[in-house]
Amino acid sequence: MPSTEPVLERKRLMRALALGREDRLIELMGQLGDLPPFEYLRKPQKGLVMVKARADAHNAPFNLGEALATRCSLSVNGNVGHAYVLGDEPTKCLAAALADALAQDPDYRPAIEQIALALEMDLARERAAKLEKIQKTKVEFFTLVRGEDAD
Amino acid sequence: MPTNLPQPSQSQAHRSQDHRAQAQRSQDHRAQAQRQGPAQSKTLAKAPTEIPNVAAFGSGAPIKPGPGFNDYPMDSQAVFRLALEAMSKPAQAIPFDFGALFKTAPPLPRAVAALALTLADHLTPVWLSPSFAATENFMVFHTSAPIVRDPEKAALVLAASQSELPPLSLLSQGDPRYPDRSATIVLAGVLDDPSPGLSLLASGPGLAEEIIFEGHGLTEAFVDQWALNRASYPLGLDVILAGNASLAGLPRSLALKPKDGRA
Repeated sequence: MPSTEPVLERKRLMRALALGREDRLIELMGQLGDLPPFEYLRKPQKGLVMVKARADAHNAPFNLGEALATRCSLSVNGNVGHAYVLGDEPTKCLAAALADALAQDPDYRPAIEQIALALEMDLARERAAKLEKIQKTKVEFFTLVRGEDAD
Repeated sequence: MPTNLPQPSQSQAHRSQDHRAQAQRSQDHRAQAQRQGPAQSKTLAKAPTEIPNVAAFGSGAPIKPGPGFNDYPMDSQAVFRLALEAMSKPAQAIPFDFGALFKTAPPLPRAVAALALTLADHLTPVWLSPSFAATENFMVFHTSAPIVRDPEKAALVLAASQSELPPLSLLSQGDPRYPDRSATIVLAGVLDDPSPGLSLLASGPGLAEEIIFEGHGLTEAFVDQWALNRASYPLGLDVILAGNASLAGLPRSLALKPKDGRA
């Protein structure tokens, strides 16, 4: 689809919408008030996607395993929004696709960007909290007293 | 579903119809239906309701993908079953209500769209005749099928009319080891053609005796090409004629000859 917006911007937006928490996304979307009606192009449907991985940057990719994912596409006033989210998440997927479609409407673009930024902030906070929790369990091997020095 | 997400416009239409059917309803339900009223009619007014003319699709501008089947797994299985029936009872129009498959009219004639969504996937190169070329987005979105410009490479050929159909000999005939790899043609504009056309005698597997097939839109040139197609059995093409409310199969094993006895 030809588009005037920079690819990275939409990619970042869709990433935030797909990774954000469902309750947060729906709460933020709810604050937008009455949204225009939409038409499904593809109702939320779940399926398996093959996750590929590489053991190292120069090794060949291998199939790590299949992951359950949900996808959805819809159109709002002619703007087509898509979402692919991990897990069996039809409602979140619908909300993310709706947000993606609205983001192509100049009237809604700033609001959707705010939502995406808020979700990104949440993700960063969650990540920081997780890191902090892990950090506490880090073992500094060189500070352990070795047996022969104990006496 | 959380209440603060809007409902899809089509199901709104459904719901408000239910409201109308059930006269005794609480006030706030009626108020809700009223609130949804304007938005719903706006969307419905925008959606194309009828396919006026196949040729109208040839306007050139790409058409944005619209919705496909209402219920993809069930609908595609029903259409597949229908296609099997059409191929096993050849040269007879098998009735089917294609309107029930799509809430919003697809950019292709309904029967063609139904067959395309059922038969094509990412391994099925599809060739679109000029009148259908603008529906490429619809096809790619719903089927992931590669769209080919060269009809020789197509496994599925969608043609709006016989005049847009490439010569049969140009299409993929299959491999002697894999005769199933030949192209399948979905041809619109023949079954419901009101012109008198040719009366043909059809015979072959699936037909206990010769039957008369009114090939309205079919030309004598097609019948001649069909004779060659049949002669190359087990290679050859299969045709599904797509009408407004029926399908007819012309499998490669079918013999067609003019009723007037012309050799």
